[in-house]
Amino acid sequence: MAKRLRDIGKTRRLNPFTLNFSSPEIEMEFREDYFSTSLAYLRISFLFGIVFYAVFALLDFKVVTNYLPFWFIRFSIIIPVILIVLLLSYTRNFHRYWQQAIATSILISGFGIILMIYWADFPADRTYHFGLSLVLIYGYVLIKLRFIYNVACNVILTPTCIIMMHNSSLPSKLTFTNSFFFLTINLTVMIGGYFIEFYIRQEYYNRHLLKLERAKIEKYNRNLERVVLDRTRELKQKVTVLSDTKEALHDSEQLLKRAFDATNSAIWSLRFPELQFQFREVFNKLLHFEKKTAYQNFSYDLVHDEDRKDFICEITHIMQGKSNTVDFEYRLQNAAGNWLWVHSWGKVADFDSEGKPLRMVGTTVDINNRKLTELELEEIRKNLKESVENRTASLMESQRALVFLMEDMETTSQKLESVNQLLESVNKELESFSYSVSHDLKAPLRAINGFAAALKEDYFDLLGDDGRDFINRIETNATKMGTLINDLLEFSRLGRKQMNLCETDMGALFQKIFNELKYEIPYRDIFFHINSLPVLYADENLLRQVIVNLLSNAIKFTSTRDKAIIRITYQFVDKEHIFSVKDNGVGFDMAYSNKLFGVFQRLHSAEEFEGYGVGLSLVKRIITRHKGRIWAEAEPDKGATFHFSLPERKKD
Amino acid sequence: MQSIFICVKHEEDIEMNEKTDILLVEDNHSDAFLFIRALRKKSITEVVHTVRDGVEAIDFLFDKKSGNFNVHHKPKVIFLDLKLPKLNGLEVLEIIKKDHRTNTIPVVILTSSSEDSDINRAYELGVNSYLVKPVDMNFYTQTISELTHYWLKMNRSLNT
Repeated sequence: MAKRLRDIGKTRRLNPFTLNFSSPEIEMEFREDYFSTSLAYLRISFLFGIVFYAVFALLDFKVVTNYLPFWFIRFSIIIPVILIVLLLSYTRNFHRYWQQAIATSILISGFGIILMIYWADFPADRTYHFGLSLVLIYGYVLIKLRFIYNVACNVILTPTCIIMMHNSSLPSKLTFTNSFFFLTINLTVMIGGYFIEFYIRQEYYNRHLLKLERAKIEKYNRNLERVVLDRTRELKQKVTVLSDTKEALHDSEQLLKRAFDATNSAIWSLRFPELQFQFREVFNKLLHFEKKTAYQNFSYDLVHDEDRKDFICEITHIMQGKSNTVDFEYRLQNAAGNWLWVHSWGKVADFDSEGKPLRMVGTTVDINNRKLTELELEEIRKNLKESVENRTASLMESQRALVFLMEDMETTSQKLESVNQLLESVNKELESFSYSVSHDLKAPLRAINGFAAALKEDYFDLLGDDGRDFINRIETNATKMGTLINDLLEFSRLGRKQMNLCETDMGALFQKIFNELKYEIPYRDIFFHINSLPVLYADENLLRQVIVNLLSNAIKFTSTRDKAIIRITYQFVDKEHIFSVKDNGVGFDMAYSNKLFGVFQRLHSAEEFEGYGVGLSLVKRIITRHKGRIWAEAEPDKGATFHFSLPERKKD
Repeated sequence: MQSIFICVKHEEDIEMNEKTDILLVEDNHSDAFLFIRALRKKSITEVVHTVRDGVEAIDFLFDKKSGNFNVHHKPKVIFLDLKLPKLNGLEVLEIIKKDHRTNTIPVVILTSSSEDSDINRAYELGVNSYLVKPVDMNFYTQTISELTHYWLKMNRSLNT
């Protein structure tokens, strides 16, 4: 029994003596629950308790001689105490001390009865202890006092009562019997009380577990609901997608059907080995079959005699597994008995477990018109071929002649190439020559110049007039030679310089250069006029040299005029920009115009007009590099006009 | 006037440990003479050491055996001709500008070449000035003296 109790205590987490739950949280919850379920019950029991006490007053009146102290105990002490506890049960904080309050009331009631026994005479002193038992039973059973408090009350009241019973008067057998029964009743009641509370707690614990389970189930339910909602949403989406797909499928089918209609082609499938033919209605239309035929065994009779052999060969290949595809042109007989050229494409779609073909699907297109045209074309081609062959024979002859010609040309081009190479090497030599000219020729010149200057500075006084004149001449000539070498170098460098193309405002360039030149000769009276000139895409630095040369020539050759006139005009002819520089200078005889642009060629003596004859050759070179032309018109004493053209050049 | 010649001669025989202000690398005797004359005319009296080719120039700057830099020979400015026997001017320039001990010395190219290729290469190698020798003597004297004045007096060089 004890073991079982301990087990229960363990499993239920109960202290077997105090009956407290081992978990303080559950104990707290239990106490609150116990209070709230017991309160109404407790009040009714207290009310009955008061009634019982009052009714027992009648007993006092009957069996006790001096009953007034009894009544005093009942009505002045016990009933008010119980009443007070009853009233307290309506206060807010009653739940905190209710057990103690009840225990106090039990104790006071018990001591009241013990006092009565003490004062009572026979028979009350021998029987009133039942009242005490009643009070204890009340405590255990009706007013919900917890077991532990009940035991305390029992332990205090029962022994006190027994002692009182034995002290109040002489002991007798009756007293002994009474005490024995009294003790036994109280003990029994105590054990009963233990089990009452035990079962109440057990029942509470079960309820508690039930509550936890319910919470869990609610949680599961909520999860389940969410899952169901999610699944529902997913399913809805799937349904939407499915219906979309269905729609798309329908559309695509329609499209396919129309496409087949439009191209006059049909879709079919062919089963092996029985050659059962399954096709769409389009096929019927194609071959004018009756509408309802959708399955039919394929008959080789439908194929034209000439194509049948090849056709059977193709099908056999498929069936033997030698080939998976069909791409074949042949004639089919339609329902009306006419032969129709068709083209079939097919591919084996299903194989059996041994790899033999089960089903082939494909399309068949009506190519009747095309095929007939093709055949016609073939005929024409055949005719053409004949005439071509005839022509070829005559062409062969001419070709042979051409080959000879080409051989000749190749020889020529080889010769040309070697000349080119020679030219290149000569060019390179020229380059290195001009480089050494720049250094080697200039160094002695500088020495001549330098020592002449030194001579002049340091020995000027020792030289006679002739000597001074000679020194001056040496200096002048050396300087001229320096300029000449520089010009020559400039000329040779031009051929090697990279073109640097940019937007060039020709009008601004002419004006600027003229202003620079005029600045040197403020005393000259020159009328300078420019028509509106375009902006070109050209090498500005090179064109600057061209313009400097042309303008300084114009200025130079008009120096004998009182009033010089220089006009710049512009024309755009045949995709060429043509610029003209016209002056009213001394001009020249056109008979020598071929010498105009040669290096070191001069048409006037150096005494008349200074210069080395390099300028115009430089100009020509620059213009040629721009893929333009330069030419001049002049008449002696009537002025000269220099024209140069630049091709139209798009900025690329 | 004879003093000029004496002066040049003296500077050719300069003691190797003597302080040098200007190193002139020039194979042409006339040019070297005219260079020094131009300086003296303008009363520039700094010591000029003249070498005749590129190898001599490198030997002057670096010890022949050890390859160490001759600190005492560190000139304030180098005038370098391009067309030189043995090592040419651009090669000398490259050696000077690639060596961390000498790349702070200002180098002036003094040449008759106005070839684009020479000018481009010289600036690529880090030349400080490029001068085409003027033919006109007055202009030459003016230019040389001003340039020397600039590199020796006006230009702030690296403190070493």
